[in-house]
Amino acid sequence: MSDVEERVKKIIAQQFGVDPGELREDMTFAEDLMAESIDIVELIAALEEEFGVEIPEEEAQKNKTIGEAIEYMKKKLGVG
Amino acid sequence: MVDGEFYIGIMKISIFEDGFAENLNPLTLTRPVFALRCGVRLLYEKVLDRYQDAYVSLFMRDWLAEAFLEKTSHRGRIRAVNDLRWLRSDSHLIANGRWLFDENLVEFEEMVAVKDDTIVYAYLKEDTLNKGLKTSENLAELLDWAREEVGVKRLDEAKVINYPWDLIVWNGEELRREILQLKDSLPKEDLGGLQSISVVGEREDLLIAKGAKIYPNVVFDTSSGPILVDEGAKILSFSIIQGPSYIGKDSWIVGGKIREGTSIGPVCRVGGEVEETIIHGYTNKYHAGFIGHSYIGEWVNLGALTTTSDLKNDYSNVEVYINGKLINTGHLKVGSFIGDHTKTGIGATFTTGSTVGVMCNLIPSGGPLPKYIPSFVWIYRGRMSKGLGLDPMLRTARKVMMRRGIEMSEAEERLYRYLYEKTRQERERLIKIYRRRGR
Repeated sequence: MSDVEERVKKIIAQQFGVDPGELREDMTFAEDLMAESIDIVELIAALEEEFGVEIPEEEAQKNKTIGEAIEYMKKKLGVG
Repeated sequence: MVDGEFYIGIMKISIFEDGFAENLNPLTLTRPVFALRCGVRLLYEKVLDRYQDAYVSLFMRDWLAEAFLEKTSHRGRIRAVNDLRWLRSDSHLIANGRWLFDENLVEFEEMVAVKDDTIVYAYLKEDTLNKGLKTSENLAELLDWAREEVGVKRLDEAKVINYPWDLIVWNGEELRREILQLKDSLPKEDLGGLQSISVVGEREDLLIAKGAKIYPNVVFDTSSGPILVDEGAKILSFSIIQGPSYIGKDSWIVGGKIREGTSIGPVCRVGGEVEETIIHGYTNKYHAGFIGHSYIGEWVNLGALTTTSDLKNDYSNVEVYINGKLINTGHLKVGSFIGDHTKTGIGATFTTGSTVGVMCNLIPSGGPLPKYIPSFVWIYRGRMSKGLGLDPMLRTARKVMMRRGIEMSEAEERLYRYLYEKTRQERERLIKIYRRRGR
């Protein structure tokens, strides 16, 4: 697991109160984690703080699964 | 009966649920889809009232049939349930229970009428039905066969209910249509005999049924549509009712605003502010608080200040959970869909596009409740749980029903016990998810 993947999963796990090991890349925020729009806003803020980048909400909204969020962050940071 | 030039003899009608009935959960957990309200009447009542001499058969999910047949006031007309043999004799009009019935779209020529891929209705003759029944195991197979056999007519103008918010979107228009239709047949009070009511708009668009009671200082506003106050209803002072609206039999409006596009079924107690909402029947929303663009089931009790959001702060389309999937409604205004026998404590707030299952006990603790609440849960101090289990919930439901002089039947109890098991897996999964997040 890459460093970015591990850190994204850690943040998601903290936000939704789950063990990082339980998170699968095909899990959706809305259906598997029951994330509401306000939960996504908080997740974006936590990821911005962790990685020191700005994440426009319109871009973040496109990431429906954990895997997509990880890929998005990797691209954003220019890694992997 | 004679119907136009095409039909002579006793007419036979079948109304059926198709595979999409459960898109309307939680409202269709406890009733067939055709027993939902839109406008004044339930969906199937519109068909039965139009063809008053017709023999009727119904097709619905098996586990609903017993409780539904006990409750329906049309029991005497229903000749068969879930019985394909009924289709063997005579021609039949077979209507989808999700169709917002429009008699102008019915033609008694052999065909299957479809909208997109949905069968709206079929009119099939005895010979065709018997041929199809030889190879069909169920009604869905028979209708699919008939599409090929007798041909399809496209009916793009038909209104088919795909999701619960469709009932709300079409409610205002349906109220206007139905109230106009019922206008001449309804025994009405002479408005001149009523004390100090104020009417804004046309007085002839206000229909007060015989036996309804209007207290002094009530305002009826018919400028946007008609209002029907049904038999035995009571409108207390300082209520304003805007049309199009329907106040059902023996329901009370206890002050406050009933705004346009609202249907209130029988034996409800409603106050506060209600807008573009359907309250199915036997439900209390006595006190202040706003309910908008929502469908509230039966035997629901909404505590004082219970409020639904129906518009997001960013004015984006509302999304609603339907059977575990978040669906974009395509609408800016969508409220909550609340299942039968659910109760909310004072100050409960529901976020835009919420779905609440049946028999929940929701005690809020400040913030809005979760957007999706499965059936038979408690929320207390912000934590979701299975509470004390089903039996205490049933005891409460019996007490609630007895207050209106109705005893919960054994069939209804069996239905709720069945539903408790049917919804168990989802409930346990969501309780786990929410509890880990401290909800």
